[in-house]
Amino acid sequence: MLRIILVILSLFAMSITSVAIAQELYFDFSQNRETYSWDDSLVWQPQVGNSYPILFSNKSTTTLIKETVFPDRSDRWQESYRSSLRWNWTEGPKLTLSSVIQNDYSSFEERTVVDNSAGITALFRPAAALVISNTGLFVTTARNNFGSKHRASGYRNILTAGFSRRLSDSDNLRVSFGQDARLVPDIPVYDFDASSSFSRLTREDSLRISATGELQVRRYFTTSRSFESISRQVKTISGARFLASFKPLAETRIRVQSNLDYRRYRYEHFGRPGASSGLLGLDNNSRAIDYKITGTRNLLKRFAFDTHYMFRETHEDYGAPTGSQRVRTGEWRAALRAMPSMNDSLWVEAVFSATSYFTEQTRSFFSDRDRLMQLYGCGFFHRFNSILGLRVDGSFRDFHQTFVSGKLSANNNHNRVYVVQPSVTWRPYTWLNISNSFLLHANYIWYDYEKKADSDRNTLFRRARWKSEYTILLSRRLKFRPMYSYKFEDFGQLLWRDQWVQKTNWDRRTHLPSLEVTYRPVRSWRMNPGISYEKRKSWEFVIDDSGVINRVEKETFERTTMHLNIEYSPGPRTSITASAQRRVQTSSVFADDKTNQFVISVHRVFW
Amino acid sequence: MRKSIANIFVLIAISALSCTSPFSARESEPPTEVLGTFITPTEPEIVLVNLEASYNEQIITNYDASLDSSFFFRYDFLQSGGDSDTGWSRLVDIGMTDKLFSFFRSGSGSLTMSLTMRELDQPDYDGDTMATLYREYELVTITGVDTDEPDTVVYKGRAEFQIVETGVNLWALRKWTDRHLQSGDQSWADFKYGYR
Repeated sequence: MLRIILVILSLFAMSITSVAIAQELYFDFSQNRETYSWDDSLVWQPQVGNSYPILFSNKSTTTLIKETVFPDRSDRWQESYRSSLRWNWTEGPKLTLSSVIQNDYSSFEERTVVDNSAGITALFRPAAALVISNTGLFVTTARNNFGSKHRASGYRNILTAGFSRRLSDSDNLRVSFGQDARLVPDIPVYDFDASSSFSRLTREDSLRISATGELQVRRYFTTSRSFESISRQVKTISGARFLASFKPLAETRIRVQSNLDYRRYRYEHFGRPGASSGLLGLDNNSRAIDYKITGTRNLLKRFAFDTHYMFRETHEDYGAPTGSQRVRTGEWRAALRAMPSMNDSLWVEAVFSATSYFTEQTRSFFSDRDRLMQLYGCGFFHRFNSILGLRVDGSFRDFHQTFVSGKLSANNNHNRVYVVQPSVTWRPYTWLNISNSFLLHANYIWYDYEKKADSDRNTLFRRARWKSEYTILLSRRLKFRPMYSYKFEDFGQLLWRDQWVQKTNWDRRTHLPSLEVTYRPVRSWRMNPGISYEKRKSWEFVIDDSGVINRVEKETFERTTMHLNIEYSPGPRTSITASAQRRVQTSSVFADDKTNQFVISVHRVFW
Repeated sequence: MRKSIANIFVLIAISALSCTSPFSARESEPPTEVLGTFITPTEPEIVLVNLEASYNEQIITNYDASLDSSFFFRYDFLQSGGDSDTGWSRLVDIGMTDKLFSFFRSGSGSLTMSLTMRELDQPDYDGDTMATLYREYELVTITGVDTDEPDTVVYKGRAEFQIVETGVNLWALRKWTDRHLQSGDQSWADFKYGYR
């Protein structure tokens, strides 16, 4: 009801004004298989005289999931919206007074939550550096959770104060305080927060120090299984940040940053016992410290070297061994970039990191473990001339996961990945752009304690891909983009015979040609049809009765996808887009499938 | 110059607080128990096989290996009056899954957990580099098996798994959307949220 009143008020206010600013309308509808979504939002701020005293905003989201998805065969609707209206009735340099009305609604089947509030805001600026705001609201709230109803009304007060002062040309100080008290029977919320920061910025150096703190006491409904109860949570959060950047030598910069965080949660559960499940609702606290030291140095204007060391440690304490954990991470990175000439550039990089997990009682939970990572990467780019360029990137990564306890150490493994990616771009004519890229990828996985055994878990996966793309500009309005991609993959057991060898289990080949057209018949219209066809064939290697290995066809898969996107933009402030896609796929093993997808969206900005 | 010296002093002071070597891991004990299941995810469906196995075997590294670096978990709602969020990130998800695996492993037989997933009428979508798989699941936890009053909880729902082909980790789970089957049911999201 309130939503309707707000809309009527807005329409009335719209009718009495002629000029407006910062107004915006979004409307989106999409349908993907069984899911339908509507999203819309409206911001409206009309001009009355020389000011803009009214601000109306509305945002709503509705989702429908059709009946076929759920076993009870019923449609599922979920919707939420928020509408608010603010009216400044006194606006001066020192004081602004406004009325505020807000309505929040969310529903999901038999669960509904409605919040209404109305009140007055006073914004006070006693000095240039100080802003104080206080909002007093009358609040009503209604909640229905499967017939369990709660209705209440109360008062809410939001107070904020901010002080910002420039101490000198380079130094700034900011201090802020906030308080939000929602005095509603059964579920009151009290929230206090404060923050302060100091920053110094000079041409060579910079320094920033800040601290924040928050205390929140709130009561809330907890639904667990078949009953509902009220819990109280006391949350304490504090943190400190430090950042310094300086140049100890010419062309060398050091940057140091560090963060400290502390969180504490205390709970009290009222009503029936068992309001919490798992660790939820257990008193707990956590603390974390991290720092990162980064160094960068430029040499001869052609080389740039940078390196960093990063450390992070976190402690989580639930007062019980389960869930309590400590994690430490260390990472070191070094990288060099070089530009020996205008047409050449190359880069190398190495990263090492280790993360260790420590539980309070190692032997009880067996979760103590480490994760090591090594990464080496390199690449170069060479421009032969203004129309031809070659780029090659390569990398090697090794992830090593180790459990300390013998209960789980059978799962300790290495995961190694080798990647090489060359690509060539060639633009022989202004209307033609050709790009060819290649990928060679090998993934080795082996288990530490099974390296020399013929284990099924030791595997090698290899992939090679070639992608060829052509962009043809037939005119200013018409562009064709044909593409072809070919992919080969094989997979098999990895056997150690003084070196790794592969016993192939299967392989597959994929062909994927496609064509995309972009056409602009007039400036305001843009059409983008496209079609792609994919054919994938898989084979497996099987041993027959005589012991001979045969390559047998396993599956043939085909898919055709067509799409059409249409965009209409009559001006810079309005756009309407619609897109549709149809996909048909067949398989010699799985069921055939046909799918349609549809999206429409409208965007309008009013001035 | 004095400023640089002061800054270097701060740098040394911070780094002296603590550090850890990025090059070495702790020694592990030789295995005493059976192996877990992890199949190289060369197809999207294998990601779910690994996910299911990691839950049933409670091996966090196998669960971790199934998630993409941009992983996000979304839910329709939470029964236990959660935050106003609609999901959580990979880091949060790994943290809560690690806790719940430890929780169930710590019971030494007094707690069990089993997970089964089955396909729906709605067909999966297998793309060239992205796939969407729909599954109905049932997750059963039994606590207090050794006591006179064992407590069985069934978590039911429908999950939509968006799985992507990544350059280095083959197929991995990018987005997991969890929905309650009936609005009165407990879902996977409710179960996970208990360990947040």
